[in-house]
Amino acid sequence: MIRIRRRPSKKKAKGHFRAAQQNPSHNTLLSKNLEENTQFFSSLYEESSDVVFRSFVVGKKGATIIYIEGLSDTQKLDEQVLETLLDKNEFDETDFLLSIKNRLPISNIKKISTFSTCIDSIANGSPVLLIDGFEEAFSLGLVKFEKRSIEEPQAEGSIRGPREGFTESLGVNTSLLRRIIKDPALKMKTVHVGKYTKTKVVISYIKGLVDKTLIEEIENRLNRIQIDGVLESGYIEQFIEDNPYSPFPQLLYTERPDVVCANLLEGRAVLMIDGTPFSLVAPVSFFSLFQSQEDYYERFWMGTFVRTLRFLFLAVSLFLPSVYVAITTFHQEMVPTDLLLSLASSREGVPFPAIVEAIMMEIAFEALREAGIRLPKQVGSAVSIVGALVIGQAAVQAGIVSAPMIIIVSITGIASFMVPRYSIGLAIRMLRFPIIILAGFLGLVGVMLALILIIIHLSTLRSFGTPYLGPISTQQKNWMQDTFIRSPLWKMNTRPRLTGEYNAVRQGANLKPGPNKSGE
Amino acid sequence: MKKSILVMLCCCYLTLTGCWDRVEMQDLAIITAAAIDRLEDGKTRISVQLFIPRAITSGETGEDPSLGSTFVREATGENLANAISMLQMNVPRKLFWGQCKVFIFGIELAKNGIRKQIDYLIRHPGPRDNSFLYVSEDEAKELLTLVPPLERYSGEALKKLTQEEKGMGSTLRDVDKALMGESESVSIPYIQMLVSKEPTRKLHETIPVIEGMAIFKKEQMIGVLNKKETRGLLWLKDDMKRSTISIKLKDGDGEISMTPTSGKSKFSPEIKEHRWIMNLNITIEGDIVQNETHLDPMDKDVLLKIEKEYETALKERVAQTIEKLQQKFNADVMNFGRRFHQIYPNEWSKVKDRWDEKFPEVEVKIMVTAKVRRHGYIGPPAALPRDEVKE
Amino acid sequence: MLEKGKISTLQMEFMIIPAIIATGVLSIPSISGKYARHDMWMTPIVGSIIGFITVYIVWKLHQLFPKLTPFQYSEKILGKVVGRIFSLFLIFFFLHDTGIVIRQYSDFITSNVMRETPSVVFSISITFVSALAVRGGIEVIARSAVICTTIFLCVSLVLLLLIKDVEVSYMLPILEDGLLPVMKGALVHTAWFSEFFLLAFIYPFINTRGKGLKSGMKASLYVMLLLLYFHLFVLTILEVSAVNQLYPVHSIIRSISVFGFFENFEIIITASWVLGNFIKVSVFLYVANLGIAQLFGLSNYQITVFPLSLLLVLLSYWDIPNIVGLVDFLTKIQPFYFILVQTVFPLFLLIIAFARRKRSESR
Repeated sequence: MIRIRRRPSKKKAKGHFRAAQQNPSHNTLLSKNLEENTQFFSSLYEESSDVVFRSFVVGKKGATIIYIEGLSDTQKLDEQVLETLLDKNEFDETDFLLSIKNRLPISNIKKISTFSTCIDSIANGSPVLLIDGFEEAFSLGLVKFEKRSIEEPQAEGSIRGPREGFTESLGVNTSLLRRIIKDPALKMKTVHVGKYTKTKVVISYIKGLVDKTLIEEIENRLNRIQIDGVLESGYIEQFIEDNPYSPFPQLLYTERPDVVCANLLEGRAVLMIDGTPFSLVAPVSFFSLFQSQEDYYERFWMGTFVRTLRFLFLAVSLFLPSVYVAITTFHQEMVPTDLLLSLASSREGVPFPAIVEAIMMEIAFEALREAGIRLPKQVGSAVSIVGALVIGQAAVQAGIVSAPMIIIVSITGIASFMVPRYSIGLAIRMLRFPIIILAGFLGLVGVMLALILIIIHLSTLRSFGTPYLGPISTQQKNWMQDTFIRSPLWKMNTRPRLTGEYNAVRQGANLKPGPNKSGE
Repeated sequence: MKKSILVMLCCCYLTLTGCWDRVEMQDLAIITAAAIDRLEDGKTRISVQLFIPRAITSGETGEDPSLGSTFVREATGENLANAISMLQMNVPRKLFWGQCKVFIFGIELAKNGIRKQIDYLIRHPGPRDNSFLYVSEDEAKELLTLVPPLERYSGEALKKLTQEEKGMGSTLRDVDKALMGESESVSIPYIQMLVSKEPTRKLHETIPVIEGMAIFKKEQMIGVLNKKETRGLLWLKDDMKRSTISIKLKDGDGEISMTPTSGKSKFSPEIKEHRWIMNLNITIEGDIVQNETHLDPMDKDVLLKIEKEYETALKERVAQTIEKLQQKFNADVMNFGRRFHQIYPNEWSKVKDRWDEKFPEVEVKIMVTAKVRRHGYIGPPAALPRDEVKE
Repeated sequence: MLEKGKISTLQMEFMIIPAIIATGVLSIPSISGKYARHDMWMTPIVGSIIGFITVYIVWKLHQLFPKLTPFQYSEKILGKVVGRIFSLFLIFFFLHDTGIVIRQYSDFITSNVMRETPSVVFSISITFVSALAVRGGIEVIARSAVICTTIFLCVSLVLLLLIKDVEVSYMLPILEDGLLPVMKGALVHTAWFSEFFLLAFIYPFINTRGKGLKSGMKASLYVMLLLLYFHLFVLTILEVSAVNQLYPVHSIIRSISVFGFFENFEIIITASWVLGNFIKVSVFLYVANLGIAQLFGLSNYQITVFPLSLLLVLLSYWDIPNIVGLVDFLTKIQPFYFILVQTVFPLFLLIIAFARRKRSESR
């Protein structure tokens, strides 16, 4: 859905591109002559019906306001700007510009002097006021465009926790962060990426907690990007990862301000991209992808339990189908006798070898899931009925697929939903297939080889210089505190160690609550 | 990119042509039990009980479940390995030994020696070390064809019978270990078909049951302990549960039966002035389960008497078994040899080679301590007027 | 410097433990049981002495040349020509040793788990994954080792399920024939314990200086305890029949049964043992590789990894004809050969180095 909506804008960008090429005088200063300037802009915006040119006379001088319809607040422009300027009042001729600036009841008003800044300003929704006889123009901060209101995040729901989610508008998103972290140490650096989209990317971090080299590295990587447009955070992600071939995500994306703030407080940096509700967190480790915000909001016992469960189901969703294939085709002696006999009975008459059966069913399941996401909600339920009925029952009754395989595939499916981050779930879903093939080739030894390959890959992987398997494999201090278990908040006195310099102490020591504490 | 496609193609090629060990479950002939017989001409015959997978699917397929879920197939050969390879030619699927936990030796084979067969079973990676061995009263093959009314196949029935009493069963490893060890003797359950008088619903509907213990010495079977003596052996092996002991008191008019709940037997070898003595301490605790007499076991003196009586009864039975093993069979099934070796290594090394002669001379001193722990729901005898109870 | 990575002492322990125990657990109990019989449980304790000695020698050498591997300091100690010949010899030694390890691994799998698959499939696959790890450098090996070793050791706890089958009296009589059989049995352990020489190649890359000795000794102790653990179970369950078994530990695992339902899961343990073996092969391959790179002054060691691993697969078949040859080698040749190269030679190096230092000081 999103893609379909976005495409036309890309086309528009292309038309834009041609116009710009006709005028090489892009970065030159504005001319004194209003005629020349408007000429330039109208040729730039030819065939753009949404660009409005309004010419008028102010204090005997000609003036033009240029803005794009829908991006600027027309009502305010009319009431506050035009009304003031068209007033018969005299303007101070000695410092004409200053007097205009002083008259206009707009807080965000800037003097600009080049064509390119004018273009940027128009594109961002700030109307540009050009006045005859001056080499400078005004950018009037009257941006107003339609935006989605703040809603509950769709992809990351939670029972307990704030219900605000990021929106597509960057200004709203940064404001959400500022509302949570009030210390001025919260910094936001802006970088523009994309030749045509000129997307604003904000690197936000907390000064003093974050490693300075990390920010430099992120800036370097962002500046290296030379693409035509950024439509989603994924574009940025794929250009700044450490290992582009890895199936594992090396940045975490989230649309929850509380998750972002938690990461900021742990000394990570966050990239917020205009036009998408998803922000990127860097660096991440494999284990941080298994943390969910509610682990911290609920009691630590529950957090620990749920997290252990997640890792268990990670193993299940990665290896269950392949272990099933390995056991039923290589190591039948491992199955308890009674179970083997019922397995053998249900396999009897199934025409496919177990490995083919497994791959077939897994693919069918993936297809069902994919179809379920893409289809409109009304049709989606039909898909699930057909899927459950046809694949679940009919296939077994017809003797094409064995019943245990259906059970295995469904358990695997459920297990893969246990992962709190969708992106790592995708990696797991994909990796399942090569593992099944290896299992069909060498049995459990093949599964182990696959595990070794995954471990080697994860050991090699780094996310912005920090080991991906940290802190487990690097054996840092307090490595258990936030990986497989979630220690009580009052015990997590240090931040996870990322790279080099960091601010280790998170909170005061000896915070364990108790009845006698307050009396002291 | 081209490189990676090439690599992927190679991997696919390898994985798809490989799979040397892959056997689909539909291609397996699951052996549930096996019987090995020696034929009159000295050949070995292997019979296996194979599971029919169709048999236990749900009723929809319309199979008659009473037909039994297994069938028996056999083959003969010069030796076991030979016979099994012949057997494979008679079965369209691959023989699968991984779940076969029951091996039955025919009595002819047992008398002739089982070492060669044991070697195959241990050497071959298919059969498991912890599968149970049995000796059948007659041809072993007959027992495989039985259709148990409760279990799915006779092998399962046999296995469950054995698992109930741990001391009873002898696994492949136990036999290997015992025949390798100091005593070179071992006991293997001796089984026969249970003959029931009730009319059966179909032919062969019965199960094999354990009738005693076959005693092996140096791979050959030399005799059988009957049921009573087998109990005695079980007590020696620390497994006393489920065997009810009944005694008759002198002044009682019936028997009192007790089921042991826990028991321990302790062997302490002793060498005194060239006399080899085995001190055997048995402590046993139990519940009274039936009281035919008019005696009240709640009474202290009566209880003491009962306990005393148990001690003598037990002592007698154990002594009987040991006597038989020592004198008749001269088979050191209780591992006296090892126990002496452990405590008296020097003396042992002297008699090591003539343990056969020494073993019958070992004096066995049996000490039994019996304790009644519980009396069940009632104290005095049931259904008896209070004034008839003797105290 | 060829290797830029740094690892911690804990990671080093995680690397070195499977590097010694992975193949040791397979065949040692059978061989040591053959000599020491009822006293086989003592053999790892006696054998570990060589381990402690080797660690100490290696540590002393490391203190003399803190940032160098034996390939480099042998040149400084023995002079350029002799040192290089010695390094070359060491490389061949490690290649040969790795070949044996790979062979033991693939033989074990083919004879116990996958009987119809050609053993070369397993040799190639384990060498391939190890080569991948080696290409990543010592950090990658160390990080994988943390995870692989943890899984490997956790799974070997399954043996505890056998506790109800344990017959402690099998340990009697103690020292029936005196200490000599124990010594003989311990000899086979010493070959494995002398492999602590590998630490010499890891020490230069440790990030916390000064803790290496303690950690090496600890690793040696752990290996001893693990072997003791396996030996105790083998002895108390199999007694004398352990001698017959080619792989006694595997054989006792075969008889684990939980509730009479979960049975026959030796394959899971075998599979987790693959992880341990992977670390073992990786460490050995890494050392051989590093040696070649340092000896010939290569700019990085990654380029030789794959050719070398191909060579290793061939080597593993070239040397040993069959399992009889392997057991024969393990019993009769390996202890002396390994101790000579991995304990005695370093000792000589140490003595010469000290002598040279003394002489230069007196001058």
